[in-house]
Amino acid sequence: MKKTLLLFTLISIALAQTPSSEYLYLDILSDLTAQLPNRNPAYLTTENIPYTYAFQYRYNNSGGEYRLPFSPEAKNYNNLEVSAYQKMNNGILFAGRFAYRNEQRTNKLWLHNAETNIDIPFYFGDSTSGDFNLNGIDWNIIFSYPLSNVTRLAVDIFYNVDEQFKSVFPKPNIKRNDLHIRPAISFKGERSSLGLMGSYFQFKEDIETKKYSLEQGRSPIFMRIRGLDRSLLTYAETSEERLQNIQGYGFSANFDLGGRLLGETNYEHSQAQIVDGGSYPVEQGNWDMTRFYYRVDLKSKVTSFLNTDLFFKQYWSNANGFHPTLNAQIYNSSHRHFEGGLSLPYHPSNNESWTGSVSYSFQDIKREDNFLGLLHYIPGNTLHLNMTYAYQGKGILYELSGAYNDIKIGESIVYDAMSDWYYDMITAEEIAYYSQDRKLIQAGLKITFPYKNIFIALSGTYQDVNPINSDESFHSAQTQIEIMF
Amino acid sequence: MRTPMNKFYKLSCISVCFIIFMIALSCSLNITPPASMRFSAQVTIVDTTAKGLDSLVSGANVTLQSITYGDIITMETNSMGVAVFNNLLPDRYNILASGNRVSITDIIIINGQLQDTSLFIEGNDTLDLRIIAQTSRTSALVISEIYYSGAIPNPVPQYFHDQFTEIYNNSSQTIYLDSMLIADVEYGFANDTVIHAVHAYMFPGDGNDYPIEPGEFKVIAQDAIDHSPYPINSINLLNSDFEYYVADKGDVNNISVPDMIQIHHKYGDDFLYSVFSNAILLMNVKEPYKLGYDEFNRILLPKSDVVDGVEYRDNVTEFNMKRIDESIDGGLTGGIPSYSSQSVERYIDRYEEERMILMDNNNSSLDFHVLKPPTPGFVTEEDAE
Repeated sequence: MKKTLLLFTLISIALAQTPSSEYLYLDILSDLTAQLPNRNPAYLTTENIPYTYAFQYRYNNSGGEYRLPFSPEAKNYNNLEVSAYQKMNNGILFAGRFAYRNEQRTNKLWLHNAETNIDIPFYFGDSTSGDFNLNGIDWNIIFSYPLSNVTRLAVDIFYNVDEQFKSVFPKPNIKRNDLHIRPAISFKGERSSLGLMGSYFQFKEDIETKKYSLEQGRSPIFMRIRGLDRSLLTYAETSEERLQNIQGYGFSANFDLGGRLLGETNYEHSQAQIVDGGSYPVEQGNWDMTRFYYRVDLKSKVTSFLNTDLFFKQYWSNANGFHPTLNAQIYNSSHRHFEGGLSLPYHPSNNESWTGSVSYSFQDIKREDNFLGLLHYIPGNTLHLNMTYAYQGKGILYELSGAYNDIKIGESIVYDAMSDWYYDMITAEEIAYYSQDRKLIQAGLKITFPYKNIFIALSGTYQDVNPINSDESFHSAQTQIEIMF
Repeated sequence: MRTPMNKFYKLSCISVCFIIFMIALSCSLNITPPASMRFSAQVTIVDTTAKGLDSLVSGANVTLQSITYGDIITMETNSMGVAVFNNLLPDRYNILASGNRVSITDIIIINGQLQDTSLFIEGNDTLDLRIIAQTSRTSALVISEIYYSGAIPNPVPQYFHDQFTEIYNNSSQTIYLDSMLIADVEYGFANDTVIHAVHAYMFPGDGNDYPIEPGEFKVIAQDAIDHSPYPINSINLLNSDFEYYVADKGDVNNISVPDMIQIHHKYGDDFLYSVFSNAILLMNVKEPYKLGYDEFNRILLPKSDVVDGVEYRDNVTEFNMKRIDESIDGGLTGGIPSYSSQSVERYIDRYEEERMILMDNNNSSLDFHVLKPPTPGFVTEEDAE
């Protein structure tokens, strides 16, 4: 669930975009379209491709005491990637990315699911904890075809296959098989543009534990978590298994009216089917989730050096869980984030730019267990300060960034009179986590320089989250080297 | 070039953005106490063998056992024979009722159950349930402990030769074990009028050879040897009172311990109790061969001759898989992993003149607890109370 923290961080810091489905459900950063408006692949043209081909190595590390109960103590990701752009004779622009990932998660507690998210009320785990390892490959391919000088069609296909396993008995093995297809179209005039994109994804996860072994001399207690409390416990005599199939669709749109009024919106709806196997199969329920995001920017020119960007945006997600036999909704989770602010891009010269922004947001989390009668609501507001600086001299590009978020939590409402051990041990910690006032600081540096016939980019970012009046913290860092041809 | 139209356009956009943002900010959620699917139920216990108010069983324990969540809630019936349960979760439940009716000459045990019953009612209504109870009588001799799970692999895996059964005299009279039987029960005949036994072994003696004094234990071992060296931390059964011995299967025999007499042995190298599920009966059968055998070579024994019976199972919610009915054992004990060095042992109910009286509701769900390590021939009072 650390990803939820990162999700909030992303919402807070990344002023332009909402978390992608791959990031939310799979914890995969697929950035081939990250620089395009609203990630629409139909905006990819020969004019805006960054290089012909490139090799990239990325290392992510995160950890700390201030984390959610199911988060691993530390996460270390290694990502090796090759990407390329190629224009075909018939006008088709082809872009591809192929990545190998290796991930280590230290002391991941209980849950076997590869990813956790508080919006999702169904999980599967056991009474042991341990280190997880993941090996996987994922790739994107984009075909972009110009219908005319104004219109382009494109399709972005993402595929991932990976395997995560824990060495500690009962040695759960989690295999994922994921597909995401985004057909898109863009209309680009001289000063204005419009982009539309559809989305369909299917993320499959198959969890299987090893068979009970007499030599092990023990049998773990398996937990099937449903809602905020009262997980289902079983003793395993043999292997346990769960299949989870998330299917979803979405729609995105964005526009740019003369560089002065810009807007983008995303809508996504997903549904999950969960089926248990093994020695004690328990009928599981299903859940669905809807996410909605929009952002509007109003840009204007104050002087030839200074622009203004007045923006506001909203992110909203709502998830529901359903009982397997009673045909009733048993869980609801919702997050809301409203933010408005002002950004000031300043260009004192052709090779130097500053951008400062200040914004203020209101966000809240509500989770309700309609089966057991539990609820918590945690509102908060955040002051966001961001600064970026870019300078190019002697062929070297320096990019500096910094961010500061001051997150104040309002008066929480908690109804927990009917709680039991699971709530007291897990959910109460989640509430405590979200109820803390905290500060977030982020700093980043990227240097891009030429070397012979290639460009090399070195970058690093560091982020630290500190709850107020606490010695705990949580950090995440990323270092990257990219060789571009 | 700036025009009035341009300026108007900007101001309009800024105003609209600001208004939308303020509206969004003001959309705070209306938080009300959460809905819940919890409900209330009242369970009425009826004894049809009694008349008038006697048919309403007061003071009985009614246990609701949630099959999915594992919750176990016990309430006592009031003077109208009703037990009230609040804040129940919708689920499939096993409902067990156990009480007694004291007559001038006897204590009659009352047992009833509803198996795998879906309980849920919407709104604030209360669910009404009715259990028709069966009656049975307490036994002077009871099975006080069964160790069936086998030893923790250390280093020997799948070791079950240290199994034993313990019998206790719960009465104030000396009783003779001579010619009594210990038998197991095949699944599928719980409601039959006869017992279908895979194994049946008889205590030796001619009627007055093997007394069991009030408050005394007797241990019947699968093999009356010291098992503790292999596997390590198993138990010592050298001091057992009887042992099962299957001569033609190369079974271990401790010649200083009397052997149980084989009446019927369908299969196996020994009288092995399943490490997963079984029912063990103590019987007083005068003519064990009288009813013959069923078509699968299981010996048939009269159910009316059962003195005591205990049923165990790895999953104690699976009442639909029971082997014996409420007249013998209305419950299920166990719920422990196989090869875990754990046994099931009867609770102590009370003391009469320093003599321990073990709990006997004819309901092993209520009467037994799980014990580790097993205690052949004695009770650890701290655990059993």
